[in-house]
Amino acid sequence: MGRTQPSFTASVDSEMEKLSRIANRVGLPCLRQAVTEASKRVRYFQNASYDEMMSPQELVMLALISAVAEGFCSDGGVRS
Amino acid sequence: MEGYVVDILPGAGSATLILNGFKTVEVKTTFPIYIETRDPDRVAQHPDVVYYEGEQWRYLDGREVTLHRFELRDLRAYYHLSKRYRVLNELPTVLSQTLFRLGALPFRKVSIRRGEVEIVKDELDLSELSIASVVTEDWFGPSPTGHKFRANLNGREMTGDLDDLSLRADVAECMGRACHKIRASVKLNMEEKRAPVSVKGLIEWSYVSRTPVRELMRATIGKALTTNEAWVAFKRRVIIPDVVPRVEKERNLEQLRSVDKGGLVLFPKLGCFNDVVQVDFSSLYPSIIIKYNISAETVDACHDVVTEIGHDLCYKEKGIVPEALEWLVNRKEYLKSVDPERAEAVKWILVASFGYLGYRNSKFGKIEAYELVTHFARKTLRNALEIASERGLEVIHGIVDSLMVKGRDVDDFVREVQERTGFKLKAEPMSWVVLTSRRDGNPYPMRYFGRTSDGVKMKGVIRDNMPNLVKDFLEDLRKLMSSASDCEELMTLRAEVMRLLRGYLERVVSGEPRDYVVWVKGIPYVRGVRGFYDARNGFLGRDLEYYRQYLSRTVRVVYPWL
Amino acid sequence: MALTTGFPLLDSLISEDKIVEFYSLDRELLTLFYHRVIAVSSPVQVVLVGERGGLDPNMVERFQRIYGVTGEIRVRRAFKVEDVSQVLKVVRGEAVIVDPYQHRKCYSNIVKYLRLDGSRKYIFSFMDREREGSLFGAHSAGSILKLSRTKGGFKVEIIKSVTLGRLEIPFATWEIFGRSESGLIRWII
Repeated sequence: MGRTQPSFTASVDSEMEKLSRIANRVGLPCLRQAVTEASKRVRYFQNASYDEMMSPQELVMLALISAVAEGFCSDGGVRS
Repeated sequence: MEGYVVDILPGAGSATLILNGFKTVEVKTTFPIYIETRDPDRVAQHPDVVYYEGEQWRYLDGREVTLHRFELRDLRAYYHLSKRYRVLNELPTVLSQTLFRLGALPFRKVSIRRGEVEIVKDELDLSELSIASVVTEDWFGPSPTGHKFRANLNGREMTGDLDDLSLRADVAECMGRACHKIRASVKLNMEEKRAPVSVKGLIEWSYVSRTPVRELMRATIGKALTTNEAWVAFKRRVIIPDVVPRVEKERNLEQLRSVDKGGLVLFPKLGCFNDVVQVDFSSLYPSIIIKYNISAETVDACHDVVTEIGHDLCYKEKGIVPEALEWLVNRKEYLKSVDPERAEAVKWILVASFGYLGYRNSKFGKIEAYELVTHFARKTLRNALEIASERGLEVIHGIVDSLMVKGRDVDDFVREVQERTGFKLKAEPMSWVVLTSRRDGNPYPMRYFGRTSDGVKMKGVIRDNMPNLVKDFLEDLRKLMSSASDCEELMTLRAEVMRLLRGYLERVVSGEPRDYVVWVKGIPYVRGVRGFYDARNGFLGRDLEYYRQYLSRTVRVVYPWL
Repeated sequence: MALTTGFPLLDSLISEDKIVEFYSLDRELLTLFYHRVIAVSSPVQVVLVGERGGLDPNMVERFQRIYGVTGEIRVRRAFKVEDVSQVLKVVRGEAVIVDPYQHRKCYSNIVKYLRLDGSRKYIFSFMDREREGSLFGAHSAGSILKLSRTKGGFKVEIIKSVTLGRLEIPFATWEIFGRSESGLIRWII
């Protein structure tokens, strides 16, 4: 928790929420699922990046990519 | 005459030393005040100035200056003069400085013969003092207007009606009318107390900071902590400033990003884990301050060690803060086997000392020093994580200065971490540990509970602002869970947990009024059907649904398999 | 790089002023605005006044990415009121100063050091200047601008200016973030 800059966790959460909101508005079920899965994983990506300089956006993107890479969709979308 | 110095009362040209057993003795003394002035004669015109002397002191940055020490006949002149002139060295307090000069430090045993004082026993032996704590109670708990009392006198517990209360002690903390019913050399009114420790803790603070206990009671921990540091400065003739305006180093965004952080906190895996070892660094932050000689005046004073974060360490002179903390760390270790309550009081000061390094009004700290400490703390924990990984240990959790690991040869792991980081560790095996999530499913780093050799330890589970009923439930739940020797057994306790919960749900209906009390910011409340109400107005019923839901929620958090 | 708001119209209206003060009662709006100003003015010096908070490096970098600017941002913090004038004393040249009057004291010293080397300063204040207007160096600011939210955006009102009367300029929300198409491209590349 920094004195000047906002908490990293709060920034990550804010990015994640923004992604969720947009995914919900767009209404594509696979994307929604991938985003939901990403939000469950993002904490562990935070752990893994503890000594790297990663921005919240990079972290959230990585979590999302990992969910997509594992074909996280059960609604008839493309599975890898 | 002989006795422990319990208090000092200033007089005109003298001071009355209050010793244990209600003994008093008057000694002749004046009171010192340090003023920075080019015209000491003008200051000396004040009728209460007996004489003055110039002394060579230096500022924290090394600049030499002549300070004048004026000896006052009456302490009231101190307040008068401090409004008109620039007074320095206000910590240690003037009474502390006076006691020091007299050779009569608080809670040391002294002998006074013909006005001369001598310390005959430096170590604090509480068995020679009588110490009391008296709390008045109402139906909802502690209350200054209560009619019942609960007292502890030298470890003996007593309860009764306030009208029957009568006790004598050297030092007593008290509340409400109880303060009028007891006789004590030093009475500490709990309603004015801001310090977060008990009366024994305050006595320890008084001993450590050499400040009369009365002067510490209304202050926050900052006073005890800063005074401890101020004594080091005083000994070195380094001026203890009032306000220190600081100009921090310029940083770019990358630099700010990398240093403006707290401790390293991992998000734990969720669930129950068998055979875990909790590995804690002992007093990590104070140890870092001592090892790397971190203090406002040492950081960047020279470049003995250039660190990655742009601040440099200097070992030419021992820093004021490291010196002040070193003796506290040793004292805490010593007190652990003598008096755990006093050891805890010292631990408070150690914990706060780190935070104070970065506090804006800190006298001996600065932000660069604070950043160095958090940097080394993160680095140390990262090293420990790497070593765990090298050794094939599973890291269940890591938070600032502590790790939970699972695997083989944890003792060797502990040894290696100690060798490679240079910091001491303590290892506590846990037969099982449960890490739970928040309501949104996210792992919650600050909450866990696990079974150690002393029973089930709970962190972040029992909160002060929970209803008494819920606290009792968690206590019973804790005892129930300590019967399980592993996660599998823990899960089989489900039926008994439900039984316990049912019992408490019934208690919601037929409980004592005290069960429903919730303390929020020092005020007792009860949740009634129309919302929360102040319990001090009397018990006016409770909202059954609220308490039932609270219990159910609590059990779901602690026993997620339900 | 000189101090700029990134809005050419605004910049032209305040170009003659040495000290420009932006204030708002809307903390979120003003914060977003000054992060943008810092980014588009970079390289730039910044002074942050206050015990906690004040700068989100990620937000600044996002704005820098959107506008294709890469200058260095150099920051100094003043945690307590006694630090403020000391820090301002050592800052030479143009700078962005965030919330210098928040302690509501020692303002004459603060104003003295703000004007010391005669270079331009942009001040951002979280206070209601119209209520506290006379107290804190309002006389020394060349222009005082008020930011407030509107439906669909925000507006900038020129409260005080040497050259202009009261003037109101509306902006749409997306204008803070620049044109969205070029923003996305800069993110992807």
